[in-house]
Amino acid sequence: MERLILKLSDAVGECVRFLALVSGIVLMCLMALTVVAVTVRKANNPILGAQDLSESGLIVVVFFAMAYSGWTGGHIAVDLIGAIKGRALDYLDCGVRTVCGLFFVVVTWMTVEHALDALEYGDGFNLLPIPHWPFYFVIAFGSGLFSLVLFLLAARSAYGMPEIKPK
Amino acid sequence: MSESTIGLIGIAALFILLAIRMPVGIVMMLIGGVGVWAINGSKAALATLGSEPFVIASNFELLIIPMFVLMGNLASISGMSRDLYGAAYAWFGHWRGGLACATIAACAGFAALSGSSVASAVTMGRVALPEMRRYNYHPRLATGCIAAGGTLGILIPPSTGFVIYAILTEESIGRLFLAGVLPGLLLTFLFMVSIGIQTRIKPDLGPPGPKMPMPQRIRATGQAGAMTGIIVITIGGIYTGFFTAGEAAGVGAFLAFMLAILRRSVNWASMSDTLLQTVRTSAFAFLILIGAHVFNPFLALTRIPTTLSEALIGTEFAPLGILLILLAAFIVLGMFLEGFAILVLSLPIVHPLIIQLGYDPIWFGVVMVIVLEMGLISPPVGVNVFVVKSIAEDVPMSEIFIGILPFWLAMVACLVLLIAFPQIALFLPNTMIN
Repeated sequence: MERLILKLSDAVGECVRFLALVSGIVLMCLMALTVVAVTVRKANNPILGAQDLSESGLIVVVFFAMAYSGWTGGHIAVDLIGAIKGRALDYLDCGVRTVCGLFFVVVTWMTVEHALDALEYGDGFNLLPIPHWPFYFVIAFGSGLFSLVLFLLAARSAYGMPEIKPK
Repeated sequence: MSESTIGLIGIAALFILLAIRMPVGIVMMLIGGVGVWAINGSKAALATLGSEPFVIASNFELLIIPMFVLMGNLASISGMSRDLYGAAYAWFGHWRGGLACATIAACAGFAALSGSSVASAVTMGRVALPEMRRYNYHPRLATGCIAAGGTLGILIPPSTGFVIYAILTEESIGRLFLAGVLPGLLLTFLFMVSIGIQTRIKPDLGPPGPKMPMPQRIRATGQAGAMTGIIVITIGGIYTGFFTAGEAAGVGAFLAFMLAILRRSVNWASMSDTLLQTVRTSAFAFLILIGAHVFNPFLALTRIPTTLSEALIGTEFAPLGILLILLAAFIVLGMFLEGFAILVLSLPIVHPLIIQLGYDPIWFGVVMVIVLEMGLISPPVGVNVFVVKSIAEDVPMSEIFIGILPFWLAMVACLVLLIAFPQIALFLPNTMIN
């Protein structure tokens, strides 16, 4: 079982890191878009729908990085019970992460429902004909991956494996 | 069961889950979702959980968070922190405690490029600590000034604390940023005064460094010119209404990127690290904001904020008395809870109260951020203290906390001045163009 967890850890670690890099590259594109949008707006020739592009890109930035942030301990938690240490802390973390993972399964499921609704009703951004539904699916994908990461972290805690640090 | 009772159970559950190390953003989503379910039924709760992530992650105004985080991280890799320290060192280094003053000044400069206190403390700590050690600075003063100087990161714009405050209270990010400028400079000055007093009482805490000739000082200042240019363009652009705060973030990040390329500090390894660090920080900030937007409607449904506001206003305390009680409560909370958690958990209750008491919400944003800064360096969970400890491993925690105390008192002095003279915070936002 431990070998399986380690193998899964390697695969998931690479996957979430790759997605986080994609998220970073999208962020760089949004940075370039902002500069161009400001420049051409000052020349009285604004880019139509620049805000729509930024809003849709931001969803990718956030949810492609959500699992990486969780995997590398980026989501802050408050350590109020300093007295719990060692294996007891591992089991506590295991329980907490399992609950969080289950909760994010619900979030994923509800986001898929919203994606299907957005597809049915044809919801979209304001100026450009970009539909909402693919971005709901991006959120569902990011949330689903985050829940997988939480379950894997729970399993690692149960076996007393060390916390993952950013490379 | 009444809505208030459900609310109280929810708040108790929230603290229990926080205590067992559940991430803050998830706790708020979970309690908010379950609470809305209990009051309005499953349909409303599930709809909130499915829609809020989209609403928050597609909020154009929030693009400012990853952009400013990126700008700060790019400033770090391009070596601007070293230039800043060099310039400050050239002017202050020969004073008694001058290297500590230079550290504070450089932290203030770096804070204008970065919205994160931790990033400011880490970056400046790595540059300043070896120098202070070289000149036999007492570890107490050396570590204390880095931990305290780092806190300027969330007061001097750009500040993630202000962005989160603005989003939760629907105040203007640009006005809040400008409101942080003068208090940030005031606090920088008070930190330096604190160093001056400490080294006057105990000169061996911070012996003076060598005095640099004027041409060398001017050269060192010139080297920090690019960084100054970025600060002037971003903050000046917001002040003059040339662009919005979000656009300023994008432009600032772009300029920092260009500078990093010009200095040949960009390669695949450094850039991928920078991007990973940026999106990691951004994702956690967004998770907290999503959590807050699920939790806050639940709190509003319970009517606890309104009831509490009415009860406090109905007491015989003057508005100033209520304000001081609130600030004291925040200072105590800051010793145990992370700053962002305090912000998102308390604002739904405190913000309406502050408005009813007749205080300016922009001014209160500044006051609240300073109180959060105090939490960053207060025992037992002062984040900046742990950051400094990671750089100065041989210095005991107790020594760092003793070193921080004079700076903590300087923050109290800053708070007193801000309460007595609110115009310190409100002058710039009230005169901003557009």
